[in-house]
Amino acid sequence: MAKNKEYRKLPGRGGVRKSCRVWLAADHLLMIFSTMFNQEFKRFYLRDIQAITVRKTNTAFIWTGACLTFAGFFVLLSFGLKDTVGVWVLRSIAGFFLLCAALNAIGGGSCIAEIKTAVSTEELSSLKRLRHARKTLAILRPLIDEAQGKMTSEQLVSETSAAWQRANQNPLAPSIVSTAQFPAAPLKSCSGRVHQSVFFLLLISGTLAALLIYFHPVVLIVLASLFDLALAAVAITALIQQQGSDVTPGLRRLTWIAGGYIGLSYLVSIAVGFGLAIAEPTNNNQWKMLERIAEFNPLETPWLLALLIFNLICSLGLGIIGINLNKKFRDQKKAAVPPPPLPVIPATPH
Amino acid sequence: MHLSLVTCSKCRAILPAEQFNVEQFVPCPSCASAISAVVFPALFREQTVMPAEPLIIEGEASCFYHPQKKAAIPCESCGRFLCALCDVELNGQHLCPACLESGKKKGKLKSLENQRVLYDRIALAAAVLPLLLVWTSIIGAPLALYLALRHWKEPCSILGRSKARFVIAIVLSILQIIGWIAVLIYFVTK
Repeated sequence: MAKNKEYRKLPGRGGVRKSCRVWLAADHLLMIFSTMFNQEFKRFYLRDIQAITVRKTNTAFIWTGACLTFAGFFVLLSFGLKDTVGVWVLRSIAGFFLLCAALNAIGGGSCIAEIKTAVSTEELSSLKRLRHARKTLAILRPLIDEAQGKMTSEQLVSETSAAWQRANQNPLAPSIVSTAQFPAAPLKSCSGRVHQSVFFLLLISGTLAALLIYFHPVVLIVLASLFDLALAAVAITALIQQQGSDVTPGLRRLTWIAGGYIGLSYLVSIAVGFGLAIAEPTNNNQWKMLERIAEFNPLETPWLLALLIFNLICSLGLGIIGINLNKKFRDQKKAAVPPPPLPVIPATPH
Repeated sequence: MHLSLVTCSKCRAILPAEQFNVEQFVPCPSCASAISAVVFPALFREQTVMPAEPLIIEGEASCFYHPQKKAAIPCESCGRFLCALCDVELNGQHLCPACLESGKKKGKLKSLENQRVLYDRIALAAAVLPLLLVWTSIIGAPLALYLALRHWKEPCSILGRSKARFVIAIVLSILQIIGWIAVLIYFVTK
């Protein structure tokens, strides 16, 4: 790769749907949001940057705790097993969560950083970790000071009070008018049908998990797998559809949680596959593996029972809450629709 | 009217000046979140208001777009005379709105670009991903070759990447096409 001299990479990388990185040029910051085949840019000129705020959050701490809890849960389950396959499966899942916890702990404290200019306040999605935010600020401060001039703390206080006075005298003073008054981009209208399908399919998935506890023929396992595939496709569609739409924050968050849960289920099924392949190398193709899984009786295999119960609780829980939230969202939308205008009757001359 | 200088990113409460440029994190006065705010002189810069354009008097050059206004500067791209209202300064260059618009459309003004499609990555993906299912490369390889050649001249990432991805895509797709031709010849002659 050719060495790029125009831009210098700043610490940190973030973003869930779009990867975000910040690059430093001679006179501006370039924030790049990348998907696999596309890049979107935002530029912040050093002379225009008014403030950078960094707020500590508990996100990293919560994620580490959640990963450790899951790891502990699966390790404890594995201690109660004598079945080699089950022990492999549960310990590999626990290992995955431990690895996530360790990586999260190494990453350090989390934060949210924002950059303010005269016309906007943008979150710097790449700065999710405190150490990255500190490093970035250490790089940027001298450069911004160079571009704008340095300010002492006394000047800062006097300038702030002067700015407030100006604002009180002239409420339209452009330098300190809140950015909140700028109209937000119009939101797409979302019918909520795809979301409804996701939560309805989750309910069916929970029901299938309940059935699998008592009946476990290969056909039902294949059906459940295909069903989960369809569920993943519909969930992805819902997640794409809700971008920039009028979906309520609660429903939006729940759809992301459902998406995360579906992804986790997929990882667990991969771990089961790996566990079976390692413990019993004769299961060298997908069909043999399905036949082997069908041979396990969940009522006699604690790890499988635990997984199915976990699946049952999560699917039904998310499904019921989601259908309820989606109903509220759709009711709100119906209530918000303005009544059709009354027909205009032309005035007749008397 | 609600006025704000610097606000807390959680509760949007206005942060007091005493919290600015303090080395450690300080609790937000409203939500108590630990926050650190670094402010710069641009926060207090007053917005300059452009003065009214003077009307031209006989013998003076006028703006191309506003014949009633006095010309202040020529466009550095097309040479048209511009008044202070029509003059757009970008990276030290003075341009007229028309040149700015055409420059943006043609992608000549890099600093106005806000999006780029990475054809090099698309071509590479078209060359590599179909290999996972083997037979899909019958379509993937020619497609990758077409994409690489069709978009060869288009800019890659804004960070100035080389054409390596295009080259790899071309080499891989040619190898795949040769492989498929060989398989075809083998089955025909068998």
